[in-house]
Amino acid sequence: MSDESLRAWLVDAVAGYLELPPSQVGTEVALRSLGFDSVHAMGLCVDIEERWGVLVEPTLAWDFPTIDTIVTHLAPQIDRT
Amino acid sequence: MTDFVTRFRAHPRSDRKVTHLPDGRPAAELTHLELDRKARAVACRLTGSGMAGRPVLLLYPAGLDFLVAFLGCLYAGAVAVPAPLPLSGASRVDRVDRLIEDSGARLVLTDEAHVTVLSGLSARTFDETAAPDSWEPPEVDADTVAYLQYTSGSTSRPRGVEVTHGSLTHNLELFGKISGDVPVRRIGGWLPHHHDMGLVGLQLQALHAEADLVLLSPEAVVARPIRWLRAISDHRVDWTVSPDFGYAWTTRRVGDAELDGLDLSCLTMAVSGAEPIRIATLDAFADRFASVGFRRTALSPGYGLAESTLVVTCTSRGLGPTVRSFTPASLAAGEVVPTSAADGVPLVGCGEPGDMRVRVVDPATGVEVGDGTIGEIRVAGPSLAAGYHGDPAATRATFVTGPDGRWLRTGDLGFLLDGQLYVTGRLKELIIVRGRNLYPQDIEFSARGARPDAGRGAAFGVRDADSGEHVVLVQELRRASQADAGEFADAVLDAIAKQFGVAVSIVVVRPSTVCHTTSGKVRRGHMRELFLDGGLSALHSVLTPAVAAIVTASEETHV
Repeated sequence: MSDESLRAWLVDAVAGYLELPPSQVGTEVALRSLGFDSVHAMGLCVDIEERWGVLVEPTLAWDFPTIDTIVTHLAPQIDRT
Repeated sequence: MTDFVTRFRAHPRSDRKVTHLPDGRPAAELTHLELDRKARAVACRLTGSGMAGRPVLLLYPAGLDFLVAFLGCLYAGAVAVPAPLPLSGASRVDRVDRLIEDSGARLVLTDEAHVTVLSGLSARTFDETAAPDSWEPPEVDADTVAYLQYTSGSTSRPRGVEVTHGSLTHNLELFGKISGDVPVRRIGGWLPHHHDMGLVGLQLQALHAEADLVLLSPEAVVARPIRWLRAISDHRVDWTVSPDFGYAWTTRRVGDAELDGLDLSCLTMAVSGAEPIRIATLDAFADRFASVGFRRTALSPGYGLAESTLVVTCTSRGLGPTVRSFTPASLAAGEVVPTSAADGVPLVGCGEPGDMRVRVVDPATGVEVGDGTIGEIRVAGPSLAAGYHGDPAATRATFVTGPDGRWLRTGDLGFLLDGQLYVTGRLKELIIVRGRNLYPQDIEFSARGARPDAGRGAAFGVRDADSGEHVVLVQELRRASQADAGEFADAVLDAIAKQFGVAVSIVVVRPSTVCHTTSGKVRRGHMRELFLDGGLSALHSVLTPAVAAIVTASEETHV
């Protein structure tokens, strides 16, 4: 898996939860500044598990607040599975 | 009127059951008869330890044990105090401490799985093997407090609404009238039992109406909303409830493949309440699930609040939502003018006042206004709570007794038209996000705790018809601080996001920007106007796209 495919998938997923065009979802901005909240965070957890096969905590988006930091955190775990 | 406890006790049915569908584990079930027996055992134990008339804090996960304990409290004449389980985060543990202090509870009940983790609170499990036959009915009358309904977490003083046996019974009877000629048969849902709509609208309604009850946990449904629809379909549920966000999130998250085999034709009441109702949400839900038998007429918008036990008005079964459009200018001016033009703003009616009387008044004078004029919604009738626990001043200010009876000042704005109640905004400072009440002072407190250089703050809600309600914080950065305003904003927002799980927009301002009254009270409404009119000079701001759109729209109408 390349980091880029994970990053692009996260952009699409987040844009979907927030009903925003993917072009408005920057990978360096804090997700909460886009309106991301605990309900969206729960959706992201489920979708990461289904798409990438890794279990993550619902607090993921608070511990790693941007898409880029989530990629850095998740990519090694995904590569191991 | 026979009170809730006496009526349920008279005929607990062996052919009606409560089912909990836990995530990934087998379903748990109790018949109403078994529930009654267990509750009597709990009541005997509570009475034996002198808890009659005293508050008992109930900290339970979603499941059947909560209902046993709650009913046991009512059977014993103890005052039940439902609260969320304090599982993570220091602030939540603090909140339980404040609830114990405010309610005066000296007994904390929980389930087996949590008794160790809650040992710091001396939490105990109930013993349901005690002899239920020694139970004797408690001495309660209509004015006896049955339970305290605390609204969501306040860092400042928590506010416990005192719901009496009389008001509870009246509100449950009101549900029967909303149901119409067809009594509810199977109720299903996932709202937490410490939320008024989950407690009264799901659990107690099922017992009172002799209906089956199917319960899921909020976490399970938010993670995979198909579970909610699947439970409705599998158990032939005819009545469910949710805040607007539940319908919106489910519409968005359920995929086509998941619809296979689903049949929602059994559902004739899908109540929407507890937060502003968006017509776009109702339309999208009805369209999305029409192919699996969902009928738009099932959608039943309602209006209520804990101070009225739960429901004030609700669309009756079978009628479907009433939607009317009004000119934007007339809504802004406070005298609504219906229109069929494309730029009309559609509003959803919340039903017709019936047994609870509704009056709309000029908030400044208290004088009743005519149909179509926006004012404060006031409510009277037997569902009104006794007041706020231990706070006579707040009780007097909110429940006003005059020559024409006792009226609740709801703090909500709206109007009456052709018999329907429409809710348009809020006078009080409470912010409601996803059906959850947030107090501005809690958000301000969290911001101050995040950074030593955080000065005064003002939090408030902004909303529009399309995207619902959003939190905005205007936050002063202290003069002595050398900090970068962007970093400062990030630190404050991180802290709030972690604590409350909501998205907040922030405007960082210089000291002495946040206005307050001479008595030191933050003027949140004034700060909100300044924000919306573009009248704030920001050192830095981070607005969510939805809030940015509201500001743009607001500035355009003011030009």
